Amino acid sequence: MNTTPGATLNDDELDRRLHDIYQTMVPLLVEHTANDATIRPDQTSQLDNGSVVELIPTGPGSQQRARRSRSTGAMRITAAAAAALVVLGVAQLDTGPTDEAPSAQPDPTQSILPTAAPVADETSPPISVNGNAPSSLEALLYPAVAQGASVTDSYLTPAVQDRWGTTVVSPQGNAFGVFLNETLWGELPAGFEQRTYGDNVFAVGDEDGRIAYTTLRPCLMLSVSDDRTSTGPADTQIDTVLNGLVITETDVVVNVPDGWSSLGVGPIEDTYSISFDTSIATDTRRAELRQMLDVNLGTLLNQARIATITPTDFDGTNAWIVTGPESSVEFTYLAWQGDNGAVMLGLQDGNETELVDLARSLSTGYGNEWSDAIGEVTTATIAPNNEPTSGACPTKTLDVNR
Amino acid sequence: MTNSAHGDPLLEVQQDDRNSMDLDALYREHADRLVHLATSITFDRAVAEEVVQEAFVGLHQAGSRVHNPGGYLRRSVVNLSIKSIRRRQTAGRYRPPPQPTTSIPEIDEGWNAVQRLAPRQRAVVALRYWEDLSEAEIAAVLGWPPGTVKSTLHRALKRLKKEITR
Repeated sequence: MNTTPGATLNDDELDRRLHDIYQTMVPLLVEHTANDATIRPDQTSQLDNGSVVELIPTGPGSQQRARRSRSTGAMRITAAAAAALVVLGVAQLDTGPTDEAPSAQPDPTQSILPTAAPVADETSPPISVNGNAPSSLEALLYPAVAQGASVTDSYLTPAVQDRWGTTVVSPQGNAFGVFLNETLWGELPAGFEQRTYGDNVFAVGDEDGRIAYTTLRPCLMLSVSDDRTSTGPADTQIDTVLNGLVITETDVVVNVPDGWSSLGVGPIEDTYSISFDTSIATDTRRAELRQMLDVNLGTLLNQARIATITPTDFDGTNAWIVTGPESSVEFTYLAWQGDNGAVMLGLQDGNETELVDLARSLSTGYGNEWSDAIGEVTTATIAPNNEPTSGACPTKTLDVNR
Repeated sequence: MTNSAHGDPLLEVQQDDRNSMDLDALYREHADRLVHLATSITFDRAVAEEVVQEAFVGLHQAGSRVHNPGGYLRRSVVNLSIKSIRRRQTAGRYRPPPQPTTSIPEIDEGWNAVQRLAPRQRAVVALRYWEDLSEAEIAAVLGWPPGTVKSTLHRALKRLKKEITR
């Protein structure tokens, strides 16, 4: 068996490690306050001579775990850790009853998307999968088909692990997408010009009508996209983004100065897209709805083409009016952050008033309610990352520091 | 008379028993465990207490339609914990509170990795390794299809496997 430090755990080892982590950290966290954040070894050395001790797990699943074949039963940790837990009194905490009834916590957020699973919707039965329906917990919007909207296409773009995205906005109101593929193993596009920004060399070139700045090295591809159609050589905004990128073995950080904003960052999740026709006054126009659950708006917008982005308000929620580059200028989008994900709603030749009206007309569906309304959902084919020929790629994260 | 609500075993309408729930007793019985569960997902004791209180408010409002208050509370706490993470993430400037450390590298490294999981992944992993539930039991707690639990857990573990080493 490979016991080399730093080597990958097998399934059983990971299972045991995670059990130990949770049984150690959750009680500690319940007891924890901001001022006692660290248990130091010197606090424990007086209490134990270093021998291995056995600590009975404190978690509610202890008894169940003991009867499972893959379980380890009692959790073995070092004396230092066990003593440390004693020092801080991290036995199972009894928060105790109170004489006062718990009070309601008002929800400060407003959104057309309902929350992850309002209590009222807990009655939803497990869904029968129709195409690629989301789970019963996932609320998705769909066009008002009962009022005449006609779905022309619907598809799911599955998430591919290890891909991250964010969108940052300059004080001038221009948006730049930063995309990280943690484990891509490939080559820079041929014919691209090489430029150096900070400590990084980028290949710069036209990619589907927009300027892409791509750095590619083993186990990492980082791409910054600029959809503006006319930027002169003196433009400093893209320079700010590129010079602010710090790439380490485990992290990519986008550092942007004061005045810039981030629309959020995170792993790219499944994208649900619906194209439909809708009646606006006497016209029939094309529309499209894109949703990504469990993400910030910056992650969804990272997967879109953005020429201009303007802040607005949508029924009390911060939202953005987004236009695409010249190649898709006929669509205007309303984009906003819901409680359980991000949404983009596009309308052919749409203005803000029309988009807001259309957004208000959308319905919300859970599970098969959603897929029943829009019909069969096609799953897009996404090429997985190439696996490196040798060795494993260290996991990286993307973050924004502003 | 008892009518099931959409077949969910947690909810049944009991028209003749609307006022029989003893919230104080339920709170004494479940609050401690629920705070730990919410903390295992939110990583924030204060947020966990808010979540548990909100779950009890929901239970109070649901009244005696709830046939299995313990299961109902647990599902509510998980869902409200997920919601609270999203709410804070989308608030923009929220930074989670400093996390305790143990000086045990294997534990601290693993906890750092767990904190980077997406909210639903966090919930499923917490139910698996804090509550020690099987995939089928997690599906029952959450009301999710078993396949959704399986795929969510699989993706989370795949990620953790890359980040947690010997």
